[in-house]
Amino acid sequence: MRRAALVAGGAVLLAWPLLVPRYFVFLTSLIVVNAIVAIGLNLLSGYTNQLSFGHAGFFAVGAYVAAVLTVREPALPVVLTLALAGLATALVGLALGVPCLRLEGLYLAMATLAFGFVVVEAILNLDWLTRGNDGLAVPVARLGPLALASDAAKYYLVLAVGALMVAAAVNIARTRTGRALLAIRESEIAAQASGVHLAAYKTLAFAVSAFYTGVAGGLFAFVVGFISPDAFDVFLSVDFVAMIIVGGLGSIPGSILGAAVITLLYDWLAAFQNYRPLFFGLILIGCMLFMPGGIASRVPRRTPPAR
Amino acid sequence: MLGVEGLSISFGGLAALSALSFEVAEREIFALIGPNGAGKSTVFNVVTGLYRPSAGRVRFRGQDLLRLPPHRIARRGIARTFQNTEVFRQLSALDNVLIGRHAHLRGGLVRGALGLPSVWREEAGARAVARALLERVGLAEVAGVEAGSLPLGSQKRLEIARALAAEPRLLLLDEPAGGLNPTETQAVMELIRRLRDEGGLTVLVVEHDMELVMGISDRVLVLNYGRRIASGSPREIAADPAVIEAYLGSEEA
Amino acid sequence: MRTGLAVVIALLVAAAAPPALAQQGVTDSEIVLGGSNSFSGPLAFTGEQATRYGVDLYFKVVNDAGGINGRKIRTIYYDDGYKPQEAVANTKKLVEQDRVFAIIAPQGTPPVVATLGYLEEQKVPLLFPFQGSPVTRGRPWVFNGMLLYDRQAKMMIDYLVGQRKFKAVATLYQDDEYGKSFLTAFEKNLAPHGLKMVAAESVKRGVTDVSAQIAKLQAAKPEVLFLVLTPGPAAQALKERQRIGWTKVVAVSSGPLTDERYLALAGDAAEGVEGLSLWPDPVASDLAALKRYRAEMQKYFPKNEPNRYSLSGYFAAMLFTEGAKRAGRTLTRSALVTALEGVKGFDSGILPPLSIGADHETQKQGFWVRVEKGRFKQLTDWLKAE
Repeated sequence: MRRAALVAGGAVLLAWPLLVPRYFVFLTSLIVVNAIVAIGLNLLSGYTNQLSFGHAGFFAVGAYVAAVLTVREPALPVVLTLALAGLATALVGLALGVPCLRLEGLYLAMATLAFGFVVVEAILNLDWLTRGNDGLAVPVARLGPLALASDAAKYYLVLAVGALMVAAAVNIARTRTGRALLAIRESEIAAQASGVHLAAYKTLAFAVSAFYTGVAGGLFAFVVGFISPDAFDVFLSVDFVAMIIVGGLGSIPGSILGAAVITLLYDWLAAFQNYRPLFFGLILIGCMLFMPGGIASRVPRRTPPAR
Repeated sequence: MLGVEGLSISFGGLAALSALSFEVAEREIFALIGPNGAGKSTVFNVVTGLYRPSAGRVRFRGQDLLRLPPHRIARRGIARTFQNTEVFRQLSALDNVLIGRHAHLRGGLVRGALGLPSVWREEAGARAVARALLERVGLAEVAGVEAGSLPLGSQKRLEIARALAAEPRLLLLDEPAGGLNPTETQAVMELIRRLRDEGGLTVLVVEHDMELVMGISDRVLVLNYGRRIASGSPREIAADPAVIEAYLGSEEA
Repeated sequence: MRTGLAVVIALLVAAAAPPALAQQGVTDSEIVLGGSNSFSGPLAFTGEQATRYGVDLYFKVVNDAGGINGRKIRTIYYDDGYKPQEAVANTKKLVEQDRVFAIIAPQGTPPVVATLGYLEEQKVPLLFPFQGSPVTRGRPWVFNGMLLYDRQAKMMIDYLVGQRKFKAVATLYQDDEYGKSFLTAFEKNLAPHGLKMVAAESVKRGVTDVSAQIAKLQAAKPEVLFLVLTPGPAAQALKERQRIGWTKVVAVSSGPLTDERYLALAGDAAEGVEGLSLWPDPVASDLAALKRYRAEMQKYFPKNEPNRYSLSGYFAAMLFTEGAKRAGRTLTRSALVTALEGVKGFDSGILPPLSIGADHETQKQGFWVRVEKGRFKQLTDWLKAE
């Protein structure tokens, strides 16, 4: 039954561009991109309890690395571009994670918030590379002879990468690394007493989270086709946090659902023009009041298979 | 096996431990007792690397522990439980025990993410070990239940199972009978005894429950205000006037 | 399970089927226009005024008078908060979901540029974007709104060097597309007069302390100092100039700064600043068309003060109406483009008679103003760029 549902779901996702209007294809790509970020953020905040209000910064690093690489080397296969974007962002994540080891709670939130501003400033100051304030038009992604220009082609790219990232996250969560991260969240002293290297895993969580967010940033650059520093403001970081809170901290399906809800909500609320931030805020507050554990907490948990 | 020499530590000017020395022998059940605030848990926290003492040495199987961070001490073969229980509350009982196995697994981030067959084999092995341990402490039925929702007695046993999953040489139990009813206490005593007799473990136990202390300990050390006031076999301790004065007399009477 | 899935697929396919329409966004009774704009973020005031109180104000008047060739105009706006990715999403939604006929009066260079390629590929007219970068020039489906920066720069040089006979000019500019568009055009237009810029200093975005730049510029002894900045740093530059008593230089603000709110930021340091104004004074002008605009604002939006942003949107709607009327009853996108290209000597009463032509530039004139007692005082008649 579960397998049948998965196969059916997969078939619908593959046929999606044939089934829905073009705009929804684009919107679905955005949802998947945001879901990758939400999963990455959840590995850091939901799993390891390190709150970040700076993920727009990682997202920007990934987007700009991918965009600049493609501008300079248009023939580079997109898979390589995305991997490099992810790795570069992971390095930035490491660089941020190490000094953040001593911080927690509000102080960590402030440090990551500041990181987000630093990234935007860096983009503005590296204008010979990033075109600064004016924004950067992102060339079409290429995969060998294929130019991924249409919304459908971009969608399949996003879907394939997204599926890999989700599978990897599920695997991580179910094995030793994921458990170590959860252990840190639940009790740092008990985790240490069980042999978990606190500093290493906290830093690793930063790097992995940044990797996810960087890859998503790269995909974002290709999907939208134009990036500018304005896109990566602090509100985007807050939106990412909203995704995992609405979806459910520490839940991968919750991350995906949260990303879908926030992305669709954003899209739908665009019509309310200047009332959008107001409605958005009210809905978020409502979610937190009435579903404090997120959407994932409302789905009955499967009882683990008895052996 | 565990040698503590001249251990001193103070918090905010108050001496929690003053020049404390004791030696725990291999396969011994060694009890630390004393009134509240005597410094018993502080000993545990120093031995497991959470606190740095201002003076003294801690040696374990001939090696100095004091320069090691907590996770390295754990990997040397010292596992512990906590006075107020530190189970991973939102994780299942089984996952709690699996985290206890952390140091014995090798699947890292990349291999885990890729879901290599070797990782799944290792996972399956770890699960089997974890289930066996849950069985051993009588929690096999609640393997899938969130640890935080288990009754206190079960959480205490779960912590023992998690500690055992690390396959330690030395087990530190911080009030294993705290909050348990007499039947549960009997079960814990039986378990500790078997761990030593069958598993060859050395056990250092902090406990208020005199029935447990007197029933299973080989030797007892009595602390008061961070100082040793007596040590010896349970019988000797029970007869020691200083102990009765400082502890048994004042508190239990 | 399987039937459920079939139903879902059927519904989606049904939703995807395009309705049979002669021209997207035009029915017998209606024309649908849309735009992505800032309703939140740094330019929210401008965006709201240009659309809801500008474009829509004029269309309310038109609709109440029977519409364009019998069709009423309906507008749809989405908020992009000045973010390019939101502008792309909104524009795709407008074209693909709301099936608008054309995009009208979007705002800001990055959001507009982000949608250019897509709109061109879809052959959707992009009408009168509220931005001045020349990147929108020479595109078949774009009709520019604001007087483009390079054209403004030429008019400023022609007037200051040609008529006022100044010889030494310097520039303090924002280090981005906006600032560089002006700087390059200043330099290019100085050359025919045999002149060179005596000094140019840049300001990074977000920087407010410009004292070092002002000191360097003063050392070059210019007669005219151009300020091509955003309101915050520009006000700072004027205050710094006042602080060091550098009064004899003629400070000239770029067109986008000739705005009352900028004057409020600079306070009395703005006194004597000159500039090129693109619009008649929305509050005080006694042109008949401006009186009508104010009366209509009073009628439809009595709580909203007239201002140049709403006036620009009002004018954009007026131009669209003119184009759509000329295109006639069979309104298609290409018919609209042809009709707009054919606009000659159109007298709006707001701007001088206007011809569009093949260059797709609508606004080509401005007049010189000087700040006197906190208001812009008109110094010249309309100046031409050519």
